Amino acid sequence: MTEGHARHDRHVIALMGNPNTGKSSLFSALTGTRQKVANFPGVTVEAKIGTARFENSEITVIDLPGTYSMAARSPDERVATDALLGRIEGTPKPDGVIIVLDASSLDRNLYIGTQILEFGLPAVVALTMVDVAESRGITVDVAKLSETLGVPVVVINAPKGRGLDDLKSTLHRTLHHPGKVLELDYPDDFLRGVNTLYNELCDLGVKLGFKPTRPEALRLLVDGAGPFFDECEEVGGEEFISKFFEIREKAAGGRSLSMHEAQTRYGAIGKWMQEVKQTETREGRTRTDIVDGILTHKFWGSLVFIVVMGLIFQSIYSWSGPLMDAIDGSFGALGEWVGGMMSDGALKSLVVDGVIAGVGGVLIFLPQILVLFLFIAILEDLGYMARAAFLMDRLMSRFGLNGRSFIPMLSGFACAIPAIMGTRVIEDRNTRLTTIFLAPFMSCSARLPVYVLFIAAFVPQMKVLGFIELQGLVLFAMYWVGVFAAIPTALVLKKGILKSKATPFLLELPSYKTPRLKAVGRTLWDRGGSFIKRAGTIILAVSVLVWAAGYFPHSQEVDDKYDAQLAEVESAYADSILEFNPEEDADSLLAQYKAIDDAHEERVAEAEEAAEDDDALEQAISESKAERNAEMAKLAAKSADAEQALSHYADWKALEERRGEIENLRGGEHLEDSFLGRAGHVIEPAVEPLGWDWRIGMAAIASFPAREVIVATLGTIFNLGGDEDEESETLREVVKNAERKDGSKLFTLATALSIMVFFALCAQCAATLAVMRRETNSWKWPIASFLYMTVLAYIGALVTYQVAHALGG
Amino acid sequence: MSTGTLDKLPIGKSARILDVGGEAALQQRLLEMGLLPGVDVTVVRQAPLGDPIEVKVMGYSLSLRRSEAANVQIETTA
Amino acid sequence: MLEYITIAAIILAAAGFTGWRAWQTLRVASGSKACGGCEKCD
Repeated sequence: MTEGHARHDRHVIALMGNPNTGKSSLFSALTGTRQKVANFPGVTVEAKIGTARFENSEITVIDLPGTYSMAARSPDERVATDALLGRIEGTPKPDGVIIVLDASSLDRNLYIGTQILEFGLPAVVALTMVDVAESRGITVDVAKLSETLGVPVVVINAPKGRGLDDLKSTLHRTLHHPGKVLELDYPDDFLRGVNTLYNELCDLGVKLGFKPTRPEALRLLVDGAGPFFDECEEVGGEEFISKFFEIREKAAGGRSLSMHEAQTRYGAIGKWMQEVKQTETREGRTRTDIVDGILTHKFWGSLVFIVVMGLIFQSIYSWSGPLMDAIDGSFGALGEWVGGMMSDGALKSLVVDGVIAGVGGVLIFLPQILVLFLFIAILEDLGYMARAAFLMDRLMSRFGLNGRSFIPMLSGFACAIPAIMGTRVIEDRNTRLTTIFLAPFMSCSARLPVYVLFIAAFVPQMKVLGFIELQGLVLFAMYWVGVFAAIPTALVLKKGILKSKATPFLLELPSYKTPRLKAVGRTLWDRGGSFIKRAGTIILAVSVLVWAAGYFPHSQEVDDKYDAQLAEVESAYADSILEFNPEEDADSLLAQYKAIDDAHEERVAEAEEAAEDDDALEQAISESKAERNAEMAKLAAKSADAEQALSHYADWKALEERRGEIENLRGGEHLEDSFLGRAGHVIEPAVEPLGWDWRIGMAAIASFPAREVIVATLGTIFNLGGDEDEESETLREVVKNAERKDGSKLFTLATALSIMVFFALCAQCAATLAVMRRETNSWKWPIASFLYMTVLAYIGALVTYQVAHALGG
Repeated sequence: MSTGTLDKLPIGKSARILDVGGEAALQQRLLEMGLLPGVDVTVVRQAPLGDPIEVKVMGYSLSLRRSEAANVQIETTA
Repeated sequence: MLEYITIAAIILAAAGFTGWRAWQTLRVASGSKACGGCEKCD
């Protein structure tokens, strides 16, 4: 079987091998940024497709998922075979294959290597991790390996860029010659079985719609189940199946077929290795062994696990603070600048209250997202994730899950969608459904902005036990809310509808690697980019819609009413005050008084940031007030004009305050009268027990497309409602100062906690529900998930508010 | 010389694999990962909660549950 | 007048985009679009 040794300048190459072999970094090194994700219909594993250039030719590289064997027990495992044979629509047929082999565990890597070589495609071996092997006393004779396998072998070190040119030129040469089929010494009965089955399959070929290959016959014979078997059963019917089992029994000769296959492959590999590999026993333990001695230690391992997780949440605050303030400040300035350029009216409101307040409110959380993913990327690249699964498997298996469920769950902290898609590695259907149902409980990065906003606004900045930031601690706790809700849910599912037996947990614990700057950088770039993209697309669109619902009908009657009130108030004051504009008359006496007042307010603001407790703050304020009064008195003493100006200044200040109040009332009434407001009043009774008012309720409902939208909608709603100072305030400040109708503060710590708990547990993410529908192939699961999570979120928020409120929060 | 199953092998001890059994998919998986007759295996450690265990086989580290290791027949020489 | 036409256009665009995204989401649910609108290929 030597087909497809194409002779054109555009070649297609499949990249295959075990996981953790450096396959991805080879792919990145070959293709650079010219890559995209290939979608395989019907399965969730994905491949990346990129383009490498060599001299005048272009090579399309398909990076297939890393796997230990070509055995195809599930549709996902079948992808490797189908892709290799060019049977996937939209994915080009490979002309050859690069087999990535890790020199430090060459035996096991060669297992799939022998399987691939049996397909007979032109192949080149890329040998990685030679330095790691050498540090463990393993030397590989590259020329011997090449001679034994009958294919060229190139030593590469992708992160350092070594061997890439050699690999490309070798590939170029190899692709112009037909590949060789690797022949192994299978037992006679086994081989006869493969051949007989191959003939049967060729007879079925027309009905199958493709020409079967011999390696596929071998796979079908050994695996005895899986998607290919199902296809054959469908087209071959009863007749084929009975023949199949007859062939199988003869081939097995009383033993298991997988045993025959494994013994033949590993037997051959063992023989080769005697010539190819030299192992020198090294004294002492490897670096990975030493590190694992601590990281998976009974006590230290668990401690490190908890400390690492805690550290992540601490850093989210302490590292991103300054950057956040900078972004916050620039959006405030942008709003002011744009506001100053446009004339008052609906369009200005749309831009300032809708777009800038909405999108800006979300964008300021970019630093937090980046810090979270910085840690996740480093831990992933380091090889710690497999250890986390190792540590957690026992615990997970108690809840009917699996250490394997832990990895999708961990990625659920980034986003529930890849987590749900990643559950395909779980073979058992019930375990998989349980994991899918639980994945959205993990606090994804979209919840982070919600948490950060309310924690920054309502949890005091102080240290617990002298070194733990309270804000970071509360954030950490929020992540546990989801986990604690998931545990009983899992138990109920396990005992009830989704009973399942324990599923296999076989997991390689790869050697630790120094995290690669490039890989970490790439993750940050991708995540940051998609966050900004969301802010610029769906969040922008929803902000505009929420603004429209909150702005219109904007009736003239309301405006007339408040214009009249304004005129009445102003009539009581002198013209000189009405015409006073601090910016234009900067030298006037009034402006000088205002400057003294501004300086005082600035000192108070600084004191609020710096003061350690309330007593110190009060003292600082009274000192500043005394200073202001003294300066004003000094100015007033200079002349009679100055003295009179002081009383005018007091009048002006009172007027400004009245104007502000009227404008706030005007904004509030417009909002109440708007479509959003009318709908809000309908739902208000439902959210009142949670400590929310209608504005929070509407913001929560509007965030159905994605959780972080609530931050944008809150920004829009409160800006529209005029619940703000004339100074451009940050959303944090707006939220802090928002008031209920009776003038009491809208958000207390209890309300803030209630909102956070609600968002930790709710299913406000349309994309997650859609993926759930696809993965389970039924609306039953997403609907159940939505109802269950919403009810849970409501109860959680209710209990949180009532308890926190009773405790005085 | 004594025989037994891999899950009973104490931490730090090595043994040679005699046979690998278990339900078809599990057996296939164990074999693919290099746990097959004639191969030496060492138990390196157990997870903090006692399960799973980590074994060294064919020069790499593999973690598996005790219930899975119970399908691997071994003999110890020491 | 021009102001209100601009606003109407922006609102229509936003509504259209939201609707399009909703449709895309439903396509994901039905399986005719392979990718889940996640962070990776959003």
